Amino acid sequence: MPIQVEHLTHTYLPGSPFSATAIHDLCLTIEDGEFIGVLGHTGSGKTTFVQHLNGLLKPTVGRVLVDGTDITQKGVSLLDVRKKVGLVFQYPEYQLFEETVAKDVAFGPKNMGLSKVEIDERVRWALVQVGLDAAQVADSSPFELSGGQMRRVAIAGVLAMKPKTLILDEPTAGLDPRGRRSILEMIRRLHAETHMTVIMVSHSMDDIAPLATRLLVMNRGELVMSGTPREVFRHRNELKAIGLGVPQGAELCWRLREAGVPMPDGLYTLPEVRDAILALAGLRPATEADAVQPNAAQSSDAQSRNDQVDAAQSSAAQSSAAQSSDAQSSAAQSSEGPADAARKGANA
Amino acid sequence: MLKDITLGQYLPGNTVVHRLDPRTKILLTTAYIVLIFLVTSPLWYVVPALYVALAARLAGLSFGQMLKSVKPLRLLLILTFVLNLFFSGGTTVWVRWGIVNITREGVMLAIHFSMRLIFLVVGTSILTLTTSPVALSDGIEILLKPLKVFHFPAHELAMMMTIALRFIPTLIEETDKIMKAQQARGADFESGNLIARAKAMVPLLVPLFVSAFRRAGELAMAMEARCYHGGEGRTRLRVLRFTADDAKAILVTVAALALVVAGQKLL
Amino acid sequence: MDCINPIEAQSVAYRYEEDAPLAVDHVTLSIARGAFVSVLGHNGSGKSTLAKLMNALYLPSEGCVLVCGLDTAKEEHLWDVRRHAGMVFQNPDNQIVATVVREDVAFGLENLGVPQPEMVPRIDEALEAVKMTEYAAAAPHMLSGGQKQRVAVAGVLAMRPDVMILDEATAMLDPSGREEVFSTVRKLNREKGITVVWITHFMEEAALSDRVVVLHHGAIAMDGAPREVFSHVAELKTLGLDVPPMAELAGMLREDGLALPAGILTVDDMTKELKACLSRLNT
Repeated sequence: MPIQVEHLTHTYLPGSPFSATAIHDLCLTIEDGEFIGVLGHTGSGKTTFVQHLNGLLKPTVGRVLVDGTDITQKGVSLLDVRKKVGLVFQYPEYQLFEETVAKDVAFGPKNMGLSKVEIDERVRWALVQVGLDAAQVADSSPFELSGGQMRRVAIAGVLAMKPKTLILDEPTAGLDPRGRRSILEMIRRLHAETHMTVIMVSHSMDDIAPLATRLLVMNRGELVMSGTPREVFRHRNELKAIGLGVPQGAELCWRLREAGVPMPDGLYTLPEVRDAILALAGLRPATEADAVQPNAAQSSDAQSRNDQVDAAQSSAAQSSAAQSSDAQSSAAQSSEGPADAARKGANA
Repeated sequence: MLKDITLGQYLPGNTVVHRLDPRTKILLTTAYIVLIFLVTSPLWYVVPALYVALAARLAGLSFGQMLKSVKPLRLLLILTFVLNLFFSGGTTVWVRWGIVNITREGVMLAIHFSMRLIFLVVGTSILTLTTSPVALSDGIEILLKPLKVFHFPAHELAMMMTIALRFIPTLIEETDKIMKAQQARGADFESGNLIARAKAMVPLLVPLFVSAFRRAGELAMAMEARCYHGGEGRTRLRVLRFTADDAKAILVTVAALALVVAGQKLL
Repeated sequence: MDCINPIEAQSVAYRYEEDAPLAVDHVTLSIARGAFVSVLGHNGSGKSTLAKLMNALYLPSEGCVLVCGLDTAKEEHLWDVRRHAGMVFQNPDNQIVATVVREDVAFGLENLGVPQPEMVPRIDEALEAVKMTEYAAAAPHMLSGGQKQRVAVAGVLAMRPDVMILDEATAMLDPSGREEVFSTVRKLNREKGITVVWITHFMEEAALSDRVVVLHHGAIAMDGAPREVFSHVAELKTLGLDVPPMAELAGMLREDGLALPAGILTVDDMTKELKACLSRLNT
């Protein structure tokens, strides 16, 4: 069952002089198994939004339904909600507190009242899921691990509750490129193997684009766009206007079109951009099939990017062909565009 | 949001009382406390009453704001009053009820001690309502400087206070965040008996202290990198200056003191 | 000080503990006056340690570091070294001392014993340079991450350093905060001639500097102009670093027979080169 958000509005300190609306009339449905990327710069309300999905914050107006249950109602067990929706905070390594890694990961399952056998099993499972060697780290102190490993332990702590939906708030914040890549790969694998719904909050287009099946773009507490990465990246100007921008591949296509080079619309991964350029240069025929061929020179990111966009590929390919002839119209697209996309997402 | 909370009681403003040198205000508050203790009969509370009324008026504080400062002490106040009323002894019995006597002396004492408490709190709260914590720590540092001969760490004390003030909002925000994060893992901070609740604090307190120590280490390094090496040879951006207003305030206070001392002796 | 190289590291090595491996392994590095040098490397590559050696927060286990000609290991130079080489750290929250912005900018000056009348214009000037004048009376905890870092930069700037060392000063910021801090420091470097050592793992930032030094296992693995360094796509990847996407795309296109020149780093470069290249092919 999906997560439904209906007319969610959140106002901090209502009625006081500090009153501030963090989220305004947000409606959307998240289907099981989706990989949602929530984008927006600091203060756009994205963190506030996700904290409503497991009942940590209560809406001022509107409601949130998880598996059909209105979690904003009184009498709903928040523990039940948190079993279904796990939330990993920003810099989660700063919440570790137990003497050993195993005990820390067991904290959530223990609060759920599970049996010892079940807890042990889940701890091992969760540690494997985050790519840690359970036998090696289980009995060591979490404070002796490296920063990247501590973050994995913290994520395992939420995974051990086996939520149906996993929310990650800026999971790559503060990591170096290597750490970032490996956490992203871990999340991708987790989604692919467990089929859980993943909601990842980020301010990095480049992190999220290869993974997400759908992007939600937030600005000043409102949902301004919702759609596949390909759909969203078409709105380059609107994204720029709210301080976000598009991946460099999409930016290059846009600039080339602006300079009069007839690049097709809707491309953003490097291999597909390469193929389009090669086609224009007459070095390769313009077939869409080439665009999804993983390139040997690509990192694992790109690989996953190709896996993920498969579903969106066919529809996007059709529309990209139609639009490629008219570069100017997409560049000058009115603000109707994102609103349409948002509505589409909300109705999905 | 949590980080909007104001610290202490300070109400920012730009009245003559706000502008007084914090040293003056600290000294005057001390003199005022002495004055309260010099009052020996309830009638003479009229002097501190007038003094406080004048100060409050000049500071733009309402009667309600002053009263608010007494509110947290209401239990202590009632206790003081009742104990003195019933158990002071004395000869002029007004009401006799079992072993409890209410005497004239008891009533006077009850009024006297309650008044003393009220005036102490109200008077000192004018200091904290009109002086920012930073100005207060400045004033304390400079006033205590002479004690350096006895190795009293005046500068260190003030620096500690500044850092504490600086990090309180940060740590409050952090507490909020850790609490939410543990709640997301099913932690329950609200139900259960006292022991259960104390135990539930561990997942909050450990990360909070770990973080505080980490911050302390980083801050120490950042301070060192900016050439911090204690109070020796240090200059200050904020310079405290006595003005004519300070002189006037001191004069008024001395007059009030004199009035109480001389008045009670002569009348 | 009129020395040519404000930072001069001579075969400097550092280990945290007696038996620990070298965190910085005999690095020799001169940084020219007025340069903007980025130091790249993954976590544990020794870049942060190297930064702290330039400010006498750490003293070399072997070799020496000269800051404006002053040996950091000599105790009598300690405060001079730190005045000449100011440092900004990673966590915006943990380096602001005072409860008001302008008082925090004053902190370093107070420590140096600068007379009060001289402090005021220096603080105003520093806040102006980082565009934080309107926040002079604000409480630091109400500022955004990028603003806090700019306050930290102002605090160092007010001390009038020759060199500014920024140790992953943008690592905890969002993209707009990162851009804000980077462009502020880049401008200070251009306009005031302050030498900058910019430690980062964001290659976008390194790409905009004058020189890039890549550290690996405590030693210099690559050193050169950004266009030069970022053309080594494969090598950078084995060092655990990112490569600018356009440099990567250029490599891919070259492999497939498109004749693109070397040194493509940004979307601007790529647009220009592709336009030229495609119009050549189509005529």
